Amino acid sequence: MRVSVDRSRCLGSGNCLAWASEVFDQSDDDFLVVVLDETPPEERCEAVEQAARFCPGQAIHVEREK
Amino acid sequence: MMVPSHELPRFPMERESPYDPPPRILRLLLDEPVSRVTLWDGAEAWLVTRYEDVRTLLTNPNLSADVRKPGYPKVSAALAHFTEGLLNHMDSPEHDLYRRMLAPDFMVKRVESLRVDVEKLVDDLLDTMQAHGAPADLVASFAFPIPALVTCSILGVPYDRKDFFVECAEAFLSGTSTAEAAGAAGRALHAYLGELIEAKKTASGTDTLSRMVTEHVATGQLDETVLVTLAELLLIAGFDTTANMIALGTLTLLRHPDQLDELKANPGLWPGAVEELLRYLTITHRGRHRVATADIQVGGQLIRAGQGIIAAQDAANRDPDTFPKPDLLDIHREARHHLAFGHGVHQCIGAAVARVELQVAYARLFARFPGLELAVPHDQIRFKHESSVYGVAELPVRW
Repeated sequence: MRVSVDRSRCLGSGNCLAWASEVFDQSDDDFLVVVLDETPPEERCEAVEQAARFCPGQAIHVEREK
Repeated sequence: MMVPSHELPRFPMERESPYDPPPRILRLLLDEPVSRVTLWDGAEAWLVTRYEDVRTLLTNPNLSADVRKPGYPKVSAALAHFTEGLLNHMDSPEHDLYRRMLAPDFMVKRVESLRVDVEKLVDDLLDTMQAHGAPADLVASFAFPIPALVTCSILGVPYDRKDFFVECAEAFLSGTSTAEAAGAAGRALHAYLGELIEAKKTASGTDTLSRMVTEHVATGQLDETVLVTLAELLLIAGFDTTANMIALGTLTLLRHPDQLDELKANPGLWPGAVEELLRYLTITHRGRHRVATADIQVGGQLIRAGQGIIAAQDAANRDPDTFPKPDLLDIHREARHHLAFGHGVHQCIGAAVARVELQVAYARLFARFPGLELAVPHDQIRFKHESSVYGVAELPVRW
């Protein structure tokens, strides 16, 4: 899985941290999303997909490897 | 063929059980998940009830939450009065700009640090209840003061103005208020918040309004009049919702004694139970309201630009395709993906605060009073069918 974010869409809610705090964080400067782990291990993929699905700004993009 | 409008179901529909959505909306969820309804003013709108349809709909960019746009579904006379630019009725990009300014005070990792303060104020309220002795009205003595204190402290609103805000919020949000009464309450709130923000310019603190004044008003990024409406929305949204969840959730738990016993024995189950109560009760029972700004497809149905849409979270949270046996309360269910806080850009900004408040409130209440029970027969409890936020008017309890 490859995770990327569009910071211009991020609203700084931090919901993604609640789903997957090992993969996402919020910057201390602008409070917007930062990705900690762009290629998370398999066991975190479901949580990352939920983070993407429930992102208020739809700022998270997830690509599943074939 | 279009059905003549006099035969369309009227929204909102009537409940039979106080704990379940109206039977008619649940039938539509199964039989006609995107359907037409009529509103109090004779207007028609689309009612969307399936979980996946509601979820995808609320992230569709071709929708507006602007109540002033023609076709926007006004589901009550009081809501018809919302004409000012509240954040929940703004669209992107204007909405996103203001939401980002507010976000730092509501982000999950900062809100967790509030937990100790919430525990303290909840314990203080329980001390007072204990000192006064049973019976007590849980709404007035516990459910309401918690969000009132928490919201006032986040925003920097003095607690001695609480009663004033209760009255305004009730009149502003009650579906039974006349448009005139709702408008008068809104104006009173508006005027007071203007004075409060003015005061923050000289006596700055660590609260949200002080931060907004210092970081955004003083730098010219934010108009003071906009800050007044932002504050107004945060106050109203934080008060009624959490208070109703605390009281109605407590009542619901009392009616599920086996699950309540499990929670008392294992407090680690509370966060999951809170999510399930949010799903099961979905007190935002009037849905989210939008108007299409372009033709869109929802669940295979074409919705035309300019048509009003009601996304019914209460029905969606009972969708059996997403939540098996949806009409059963099950604290062990994985329910965190419920839509009680809405979805998309307008998803509740205070959700993390509300979760902390609910987790602490229920856990501490039942830890302090393990024998808590109703002090009146169940059939004497008045449920607020008419309000835009569902709940109970009073909840007499003893312990």
